[in-house]
Amino acid sequence: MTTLKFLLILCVLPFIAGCASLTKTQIESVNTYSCLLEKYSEYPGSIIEEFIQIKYDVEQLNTGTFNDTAVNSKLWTSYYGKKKALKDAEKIDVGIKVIAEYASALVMLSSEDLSNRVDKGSKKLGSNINSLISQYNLKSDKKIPSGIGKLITGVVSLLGSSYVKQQQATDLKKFINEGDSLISMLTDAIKTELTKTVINEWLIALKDDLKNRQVNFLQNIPHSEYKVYLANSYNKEVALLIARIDNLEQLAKKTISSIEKIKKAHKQLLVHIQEKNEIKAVLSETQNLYLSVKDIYINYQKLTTSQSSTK
Amino acid sequence: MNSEKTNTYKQVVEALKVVNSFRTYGNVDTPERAVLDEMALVLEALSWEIISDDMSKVLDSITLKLTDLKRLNKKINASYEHLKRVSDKITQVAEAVGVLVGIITRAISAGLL
Repeated sequence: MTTLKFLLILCVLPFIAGCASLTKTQIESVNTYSCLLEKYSEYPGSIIEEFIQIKYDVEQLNTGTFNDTAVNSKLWTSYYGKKKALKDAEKIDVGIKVIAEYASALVMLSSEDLSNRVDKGSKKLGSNINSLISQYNLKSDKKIPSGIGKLITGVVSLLGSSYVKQQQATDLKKFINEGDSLISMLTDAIKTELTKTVINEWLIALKDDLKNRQVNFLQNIPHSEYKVYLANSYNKEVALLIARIDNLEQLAKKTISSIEKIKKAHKQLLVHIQEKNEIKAVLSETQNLYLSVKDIYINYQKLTTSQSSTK
Repeated sequence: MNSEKTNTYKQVVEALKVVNSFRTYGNVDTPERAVLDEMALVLEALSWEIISDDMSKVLDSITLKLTDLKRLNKKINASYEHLKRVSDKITQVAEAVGVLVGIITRAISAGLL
């Protein structure tokens, strides 16, 4: 009797498992999306860092206008201001960090060799996300759901024991379902914040400050002396800063326009993993996201090139 | 709080522009210029602190700089009538910074920071 029951279970199990699982191409689609999301999450922080670096460089444009006793203090103030702001930039947006951790978890959960990928870092993923979500919810009016961390912790604790592909698929589904409202709310919030703060305020203030300091420098030097000794090199320095501000603006705009694509691609992915089926090509919204992230990467490269040319 | 931070930052940059417009070759090495230089330095330092992510850590420092700004503004009001534009602008900035300090203090008391 026991043997019969066992045989019955053996026959039924693949059927049940087949219903719940995902195809290899579905899991690959999740992996492609999550790798793009992980890459994207590096850029908003870079925008803040570059803003801080340019602000510092712009401040050096009129150091010569301060009297002998004040100039040294000015240089230290700028240096410490930059150093502290750069340190802060590492943790500047909890929302972006939540997305980055979500992406890392998704990369891990959709990987081919899931059990081998579990290390100390992945064991901390669940608690990291939970703690970041708590920090975010404390500061924000719109609260994001906190179930994701618990899901990851559950998956990681099972790995190494009896975790199988079918379980991986079930967990991925749950994870992406849970993550959809998180992605939707966070992308909206980041888009609003970057547009309002970086594009509408900081960049305008930076351009204004650049002009203000250049004028201030000129106002402090007799015209003839400026012409003879300084004009070429000083103007070149200002021109490079103009190019860097422009690159930063382009990068910020592209990063903002990509945010919408992250949301759309996640929604499309969610639809395509509800039933077990083959995904024959890269999903259209994931393809759009890929092109967008690639475009941001090109702009980011320009930014790092212009940084090194002014150092 | 972000909108107050951004607004205050913008006001500080605008005030720096006004102060710098009076720091010219014509008043180098004068007592008036020394006050203006000091004011520009305080505004620059404030601009860095306002963009800080952790406002609870910079609260004391912002409060100190607010006191410095008010002290320098008093000097300008008392001695340099032709710098009224500077003085008006600094009064505006001091108000904005004061509002921000109030918000940070309340947020700390409520356990939000």
